[in-house]
Amino acid sequence: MYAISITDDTGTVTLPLLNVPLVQQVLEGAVDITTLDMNIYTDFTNQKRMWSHKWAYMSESDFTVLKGYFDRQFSLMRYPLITITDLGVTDIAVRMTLNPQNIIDHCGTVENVQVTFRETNQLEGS
Amino acid sequence: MQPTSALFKEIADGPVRKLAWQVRASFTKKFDDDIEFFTLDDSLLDGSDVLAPTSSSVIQLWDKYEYEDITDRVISVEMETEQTEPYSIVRAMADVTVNNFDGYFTPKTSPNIASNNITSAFNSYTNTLSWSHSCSGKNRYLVVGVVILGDSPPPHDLVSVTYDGLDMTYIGDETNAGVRVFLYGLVAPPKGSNTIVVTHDGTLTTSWCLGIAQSFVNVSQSQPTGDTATADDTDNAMSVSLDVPDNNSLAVSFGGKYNTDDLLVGNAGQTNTIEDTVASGWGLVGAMSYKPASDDTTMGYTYSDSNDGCMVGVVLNRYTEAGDFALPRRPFRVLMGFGSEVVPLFVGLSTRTPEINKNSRTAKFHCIDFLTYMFEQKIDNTLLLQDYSTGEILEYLFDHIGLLPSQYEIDPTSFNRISYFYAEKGRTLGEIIRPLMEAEQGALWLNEVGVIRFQNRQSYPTIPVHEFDEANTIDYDVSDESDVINYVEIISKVLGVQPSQNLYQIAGPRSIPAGQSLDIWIDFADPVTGADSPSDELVPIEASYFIQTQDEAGTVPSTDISLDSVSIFSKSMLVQFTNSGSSTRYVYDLVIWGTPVRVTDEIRVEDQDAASIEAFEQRAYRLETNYIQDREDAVSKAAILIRDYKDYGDSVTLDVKGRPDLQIRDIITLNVDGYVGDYVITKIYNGMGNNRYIQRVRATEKDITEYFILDESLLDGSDLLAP
Repeated sequence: MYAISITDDTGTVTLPLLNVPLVQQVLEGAVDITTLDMNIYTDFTNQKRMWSHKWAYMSESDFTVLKGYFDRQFSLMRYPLITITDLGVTDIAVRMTLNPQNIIDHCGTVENVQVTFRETNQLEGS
Repeated sequence: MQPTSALFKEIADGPVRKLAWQVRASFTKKFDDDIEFFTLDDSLLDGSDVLAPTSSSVIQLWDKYEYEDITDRVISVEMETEQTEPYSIVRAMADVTVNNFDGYFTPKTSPNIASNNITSAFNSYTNTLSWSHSCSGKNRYLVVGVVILGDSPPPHDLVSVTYDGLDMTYIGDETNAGVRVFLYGLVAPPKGSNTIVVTHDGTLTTSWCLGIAQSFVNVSQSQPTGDTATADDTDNAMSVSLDVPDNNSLAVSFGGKYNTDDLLVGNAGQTNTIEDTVASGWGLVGAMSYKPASDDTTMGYTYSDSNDGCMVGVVLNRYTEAGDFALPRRPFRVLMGFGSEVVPLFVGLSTRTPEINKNSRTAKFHCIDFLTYMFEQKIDNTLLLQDYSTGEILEYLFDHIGLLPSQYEIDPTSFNRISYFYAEKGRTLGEIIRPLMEAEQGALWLNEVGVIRFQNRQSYPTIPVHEFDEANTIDYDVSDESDVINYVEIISKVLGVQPSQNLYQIAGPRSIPAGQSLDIWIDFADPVTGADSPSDELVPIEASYFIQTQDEAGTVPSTDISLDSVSIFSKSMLVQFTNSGSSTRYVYDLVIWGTPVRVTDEIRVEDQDAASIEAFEQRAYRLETNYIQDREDAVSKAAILIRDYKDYGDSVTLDVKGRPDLQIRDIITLNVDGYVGDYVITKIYNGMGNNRYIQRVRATEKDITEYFILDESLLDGSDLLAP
């Protein structure tokens, strides 16, 4: 069973049961360059991963928890860490993005909650 | 071309290349103690100037700095190295753009110290007290106050106070009967929630322990605490006076007492956190307090009973470091390559504070190489050198500004020998060296590892080091015809020493009071190679002299004035007299003869290429100098300029599959469309960013000439006599 745990300075939670699909994408830092003889060569720097997932529905409380991690990127000025054990991902710093909060009922249920986690370095500031 | 490994070349020429780069900066400009440092008597170790603007100070070695690797923050690096024509001086600059999402490179305004969290805990009958406390923010400092009660003196001692396993630093303690308070601190406590553990030696049946933790931000990380003081109660009150050097500091105190019948009350102006452990009518009270400090700041508490109060106070120093990275003139090094192998490309200084772009969260450092920086420095003495070659003058100048011989490599065979080289005080090194190099037509540059090199005009490499063809060229432009030179005019005003002549005569009598001295500074119109010391004896007509008299009218001779000393500088002279008599005496007349250096000859040479003028109209280049000494040399230099610049298409700018190991003055073979042959690299742009390495080289067509060298070249062989 695939699960995503997310951590920041306030603690760790395991996100609600995942729907499918859970998308893992490889971001290739590469550029193909064409020379005068119309051949190409490739310069690259690094590869990073990105994970994205969409919950069809999420309770208000679960969404609040999730959005808390999103918001704290900017208040703590540090990226959260995610762990997806089944993908061999352990405490990877990620830039987190979250799509608009689409509330569909008076209980605060949120529809189509799309989250993406983009692997990156956790730079150490002062 | 810089030497590189076989693996480097294999990756560089291969189809898929993993790019690598490193950027190192010395924001603190601290020196690496492992590197031996050269110092003159008055050089300032760890000073702020890399290159002091006077000859009395030494240039601080750029290799000496401790460099911090900031590669992880680099977004892009752009460097350009160019051989500027016609001076043949290579200058380099670099722009380094770094991630500044957290404001790391933004100049700081040194905000005041502020508290951002306070927690406490209490227990009894055990040796340890632990609780959780969270730290956050920048320039953090954690203070922990502990009050311990033992039921009989002496009170218990603390074994340790730790935060996240790190030992905290003891600040102070005070005892009053069975009560003892302690204050501990920790600079830069780890961020996040961690555990404070207090361990003491109290017996299990008697000890009570209360702790309060308070974390602060904007505290100096290098010297977080200042004055400390302790006190115990006198008449139900206690206070400490703290000496505060900076009005933006913060005074912090921790007080404790026995019994909870009444609490501690903090003095006016303090922000207090009072904790007590009321249990069956007795226990402990602890109070953590702070207030903004100014001059002598008093912290204290009052209470209504008299149960063993005591306290510790400390000053927290505000973070005032101005963000070293935000200061100008920070040394930078840039390296580029492939895989795990990089080669040095740039060593220089940031020119100013970084450009902070708030929207893109970036900071951009603009850097120049050390040679360019040195060119901005002024010399503090007028120089007059006689019969020096270009190389010897460069050595003299580099030595004059404090460079070590290990910092430069001078080609010993420069062609220009200058009868009289003269440079005025206050001129910049660039203003002095550019015309020197223009006349020499050699090359001067700072190489990638920071060594200044000079080579004469015949010392170009002759063997191509790399070939660019359609397989490794992405695009090219042909430079426009503005690069064409088809008409050259050289005017040299040669300096020479003149026969001895009258250089100075005093404007009127100068008095010297009895027993006093007189300094007369003389400024000459031209530099001099020598001037006679004035005599008051009978002298030949064409010699320096002075006349001393007892009266201003010059009617009564005197013998009381003696000439103490004469000092001759390149363009000035100091004459010092003393009057040993008992009355005022006069230097009635003073005449100085000497040998000035003036323009003695003017060489004027013109050359042109008719075919080029026919094709492109006249493209003139005028060289006016003091440093070409004879007509043959001027003719030769004009011919070289015409030969090298008369044709359109002599220079081609190529976007290529980059090789960071290429250098200015490398010979490359070009085979792209109609551009075939050997070219010399006169400009290189290296840029790395957006996962791409861009290299753009300007290649100038070059007739590879092997010049005849005595004892090496074959007589009647292919080597040419140098022009």
